[in-house]
Amino acid sequence: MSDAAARPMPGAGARLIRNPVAVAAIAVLALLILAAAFGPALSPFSYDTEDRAAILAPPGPRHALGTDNHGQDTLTRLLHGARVSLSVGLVVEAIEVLIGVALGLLAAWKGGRLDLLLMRVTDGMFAFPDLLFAILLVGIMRPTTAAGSFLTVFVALALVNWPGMARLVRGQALAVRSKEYVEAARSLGIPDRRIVMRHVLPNIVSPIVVAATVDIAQVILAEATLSFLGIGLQPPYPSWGRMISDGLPYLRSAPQLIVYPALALGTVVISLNFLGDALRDALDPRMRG
Amino acid sequence: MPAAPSVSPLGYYPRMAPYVLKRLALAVPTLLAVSFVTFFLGYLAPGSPIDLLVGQHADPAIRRQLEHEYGLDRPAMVQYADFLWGAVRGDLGHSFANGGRSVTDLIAQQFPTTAFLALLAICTASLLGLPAGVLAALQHNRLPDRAVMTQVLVLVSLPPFVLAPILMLCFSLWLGWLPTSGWEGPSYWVLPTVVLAARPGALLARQMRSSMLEVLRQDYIRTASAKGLTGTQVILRHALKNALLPVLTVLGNSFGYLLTGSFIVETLFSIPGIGYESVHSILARDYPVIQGVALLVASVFVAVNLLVDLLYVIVDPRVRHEAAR
Repeated sequence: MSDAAARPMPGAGARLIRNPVAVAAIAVLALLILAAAFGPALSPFSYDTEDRAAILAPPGPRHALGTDNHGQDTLTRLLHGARVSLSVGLVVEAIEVLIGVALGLLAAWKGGRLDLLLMRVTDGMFAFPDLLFAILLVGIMRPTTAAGSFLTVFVALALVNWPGMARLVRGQALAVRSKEYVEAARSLGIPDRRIVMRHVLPNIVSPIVVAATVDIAQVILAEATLSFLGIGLQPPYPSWGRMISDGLPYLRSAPQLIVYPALALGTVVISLNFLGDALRDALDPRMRG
Repeated sequence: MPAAPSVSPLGYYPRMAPYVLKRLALAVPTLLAVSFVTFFLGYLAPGSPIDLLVGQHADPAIRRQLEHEYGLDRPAMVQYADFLWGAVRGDLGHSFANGGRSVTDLIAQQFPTTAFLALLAICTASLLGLPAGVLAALQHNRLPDRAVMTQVLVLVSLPPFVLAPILMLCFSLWLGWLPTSGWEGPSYWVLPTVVLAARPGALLARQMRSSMLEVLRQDYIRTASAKGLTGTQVILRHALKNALLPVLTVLGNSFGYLLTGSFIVETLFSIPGIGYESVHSILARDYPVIQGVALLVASVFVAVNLLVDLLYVIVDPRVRHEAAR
């Protein structure tokens, strides 16, 4: 039994490695993380270096992917944009998982008023399209400094995204709560905290991991949307969404300004979604539909 | 459980009125919460709306007078109550920009375009997504299934502002078949509709497939086949009808996406709808317009979900029985 609690998903890693789609998605994401971590340092340009001699330059030897209307190097800006996307995705998702797991477990375990309150609040949040809520939130609170805009985006996205995770955790925890092994642990007089941490949580990790992977993709898309609308990260720091909207006037003359960030964004989100799908198959073969 | 349910010509619809009233009553707190949040976000936001009218360095006396004229010097709760009372009567205040036009006017003028675009998109999404989902379920784990599911993941991953420029490049700039922006006739509708329909279409296909797979496992499908019905009859008359129910929920939820998506799609294609106006209002901090749109969106979203729940009750006898309790 202690074995089952310690290893809730035997063989999941092996199943994941055997899935070529999952391996490809992991490889793409790993490359991207490396590029985001080390790429900007390797580039001879900064994200806001304006090369006056090369305004709207096509891809060439000096600027591998060309430059934008300010003469800023597209490749360098893409690499910095990768930092933004990945850090927003990971940090917001981490906050969301933390809040969601804590509140979901607490509500499922304590029940009563706390549970009712959580359900009412999440119901209320579900009654409004969440991305639109984020747009309104960020749009109205829109700070003018770069650091402030970063913070606002993080807070807004975490604020609109946690209810889904809390509901998922609550539902899963409720199902596990009525299992015999939890009953057994209780009758042995094991304290609640230990039961939740050792027996409940390990058994609901799979759906949390799957949901979190797909959610990171949603968070990255949401940040790009806010930045596309001009209310996310404030310039000059680049975000892929902002790069796309800045490139729109040059769609005819310099389509690469849009194509590169669009490809980058699409690749990351598609990889995460495929990885989420593969994880679902690997962690719970029964769910394979 | 009430005795003797009333029987309408359409069949057995016991006591729908109490259920509808209960659901309508539940919508009120939601709308109140949305109005409260949007109002106070605007109230607490940095920068005064007066700045928009006269600039940041205007004479303090003029500022005070303007604040008084717009009622901005009153206590917050009084302003909120005023806003609510106005909203109930259909008066959402006046835009700070647009020459001080009434927000209700502005919405009334632009909402039809957005609604029309959303309708086109949801029809396109259903017409393509539902058959694709059925096909995938019937060809489970075979090539068509894999093709549809891969397509679904790709479409779910591509936001409108990635899809739109790519389609504009292909169909407008290179092939020259369709216009890039504007809203002047059917040829202008094609690209925005496709871009907006992509995500809901993919989600509908995914839900259709999984609920179809679920239904096909049921005993009554085996019974229907066993009594000698052809495959088509079983699928159309028994499987499809039951599998469509969970799809309704996805359909209702996709209206939330369509409204949000219209912000981006209308901006991309310069379509004179409520989304385009909202983005401008947000960038210009035109709070009355933002608040009005937020209330409108919440109302539409609540109404659509209510409609979906009622459809459930009408279509599914099992849910009807629950609702009548």
